Amino acid sequence: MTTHHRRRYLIKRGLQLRYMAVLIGAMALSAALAGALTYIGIWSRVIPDFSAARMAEKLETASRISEQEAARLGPRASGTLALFSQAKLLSAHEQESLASAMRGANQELAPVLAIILAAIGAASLLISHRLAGPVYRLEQAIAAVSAGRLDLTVRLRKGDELSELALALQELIDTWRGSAERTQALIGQLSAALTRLAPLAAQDDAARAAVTQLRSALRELEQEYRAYVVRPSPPA
Amino acid sequence: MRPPLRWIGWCLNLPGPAAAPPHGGPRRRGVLSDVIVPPIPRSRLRAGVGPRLRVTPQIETLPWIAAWLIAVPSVSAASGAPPRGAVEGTLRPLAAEDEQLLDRIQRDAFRYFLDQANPATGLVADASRPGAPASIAATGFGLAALCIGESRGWISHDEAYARVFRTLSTVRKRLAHERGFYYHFVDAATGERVWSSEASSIDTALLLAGALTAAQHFEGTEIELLGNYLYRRTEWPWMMTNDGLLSMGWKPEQGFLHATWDWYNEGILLYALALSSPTYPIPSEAWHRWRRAERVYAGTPVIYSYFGSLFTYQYAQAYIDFRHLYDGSVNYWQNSVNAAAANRQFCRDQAAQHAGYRQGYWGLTAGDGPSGYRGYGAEPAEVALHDGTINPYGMIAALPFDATAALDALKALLNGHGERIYGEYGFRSGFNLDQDWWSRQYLGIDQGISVLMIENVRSGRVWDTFMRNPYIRQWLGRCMAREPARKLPGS
Repeated sequence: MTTHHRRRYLIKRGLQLRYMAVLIGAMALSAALAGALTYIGIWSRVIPDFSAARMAEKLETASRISEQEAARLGPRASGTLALFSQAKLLSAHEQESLASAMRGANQELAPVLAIILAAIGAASLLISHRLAGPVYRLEQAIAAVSAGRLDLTVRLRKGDELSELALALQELIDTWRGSAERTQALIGQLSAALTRLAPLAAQDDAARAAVTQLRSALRELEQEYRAYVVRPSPPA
Repeated sequence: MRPPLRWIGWCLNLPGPAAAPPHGGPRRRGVLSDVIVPPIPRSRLRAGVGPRLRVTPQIETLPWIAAWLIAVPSVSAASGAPPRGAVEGTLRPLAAEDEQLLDRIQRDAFRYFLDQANPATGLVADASRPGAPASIAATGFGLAALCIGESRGWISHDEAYARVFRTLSTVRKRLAHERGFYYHFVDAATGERVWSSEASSIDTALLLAGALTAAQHFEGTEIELLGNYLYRRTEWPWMMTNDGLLSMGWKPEQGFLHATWDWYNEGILLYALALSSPTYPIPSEAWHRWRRAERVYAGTPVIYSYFGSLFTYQYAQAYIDFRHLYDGSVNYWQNSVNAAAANRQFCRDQAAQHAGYRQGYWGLTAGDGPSGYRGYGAEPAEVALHDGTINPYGMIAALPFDATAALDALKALLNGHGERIYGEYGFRSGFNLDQDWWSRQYLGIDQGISVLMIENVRSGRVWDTFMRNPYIRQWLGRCMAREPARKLPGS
């Protein structure tokens, strides 16, 4: 079995480049939006939390809570040691703040991401329709031609992909139709010639048999080509 | 509960603890569900909002209370709320001028709970300073304060109902908890645990005391069901240590805190609630395990708390009316009267060292000071920390115990330093004349105890409301008596 290796990956350059651009653009846009929203969502919470005023508030609260614990449980540490207790509280609180910021950002991001996904889904539907539409139409055209409809005109919408393929198919149909028309005309001419030849061949058995054979073959040919619709019709 | 009482309740098909079958049968699904808050019969709701304060117990509990009163005459007499137009017993009617002053202080402190509560959740800030987290204790005081505000006409009935309902709904649905114990500090907007705080037993008790007060105040409404539901879902035995005492708290990172409620202090409210639980009560022995150390200071005997902070004698008394209750020989009301007197005397004795004491201020209690929050206190105590700092709420919360002395000091403080110590929410947290230090902030629990104790000295309303709660009667029956075993010296 022969293995065929593709040497050129950009076989249909225009089509491929367009779809590469669409894919890359959609992914880049999604990533950029998600990144920006995550960044804004998290940092819009975290940055104010680290402002000088907020840090002063937190230091005071850490100190207060540490003092309240000491007032309730008994003084366990004082001076520098008390600072460790407050630092521990502050550290725990910063972790809580970050976790809370992440949770908050996630909660806010979820509906936004759902909207983005819906928008991408709708856009991909429209974009894929530009490819799927012509494919469907070409399939219909090929099926019609197989059934003998050589009077078709293949037309695609403006902006549809595969227009070159549609043009090639139209050329094939036109060529086929011309050939069929010429064959039908020849059948007519042959039929007329045989009609004129028949009285002359009546005297000779061999000639009569040949004419009969020719008529039979011509009838088969005529039936074969009668299936083809060659008159132009309104576009499908 | 004693078996005969359980049988009476069971036979009468009553709600609450007596409705549980005596021998482990299926629990009756009553209006007080353990797991969910059931829908409320329309007949029990009044136009979608709660009723004004009234004394009538709910219909379902009447037979049970009647049976209980018959079965335990001594306790019923002890726990029955005495009539109160004006306050009675050890309290004296207030002069019109004093009533006016207290009305102003109480109303200003009440405003803290309107302004500092998160509008979406109802959770109350621990302090008025920016960035302060919400505190569940302050939230509990806020619940009771809203009931007071509604009764006094400071806010409309509908607003009070909406605020209380919002808060209790937040506690039920959003507030982080472990087996019904809530974290000391939480995010006011989300109810999530913050500052690595502990699931605190005492702060949970203060929250639930407020919830039960609101439940009783808005009797016959969804608030009653919510408040009772929250109380019933707390698994008190889980917080007990091997010593048979309640731990101070639990942290996910380290488990139970080593410190326990092993001395007389505000923890008696915690024990009262834990012993009264119809769903998860702790054994009665726990009540007798904590230490009742007695010492005489300047001729005044006091069962004292470890730090001698005045609030330790006041917090439980904000809700529980101890005036006619005896724990063996001890009357904790009288003990708080004595503690207030000892605290005042201690300040007099230390007057040479501190200007604040010289000017007649007293009420040494935990609060803000020049060096931060400190557990200030007075003798008798194991550790009496003081540096001349006065936290005015200590005097306000002592009003029921010595109204004359507290009012005199408060008037002097307002006249002498009103501009520096008094602001939009009443008295600020503290001051120290020696260091010319004046706190700029208000603390939720300070304003809360102020609102409640002023109300008690004015009308006894918080006591009346809280003591009507059918659950708290369990503790009364198990641990308290009407008559003392022996007289407390000095009482």
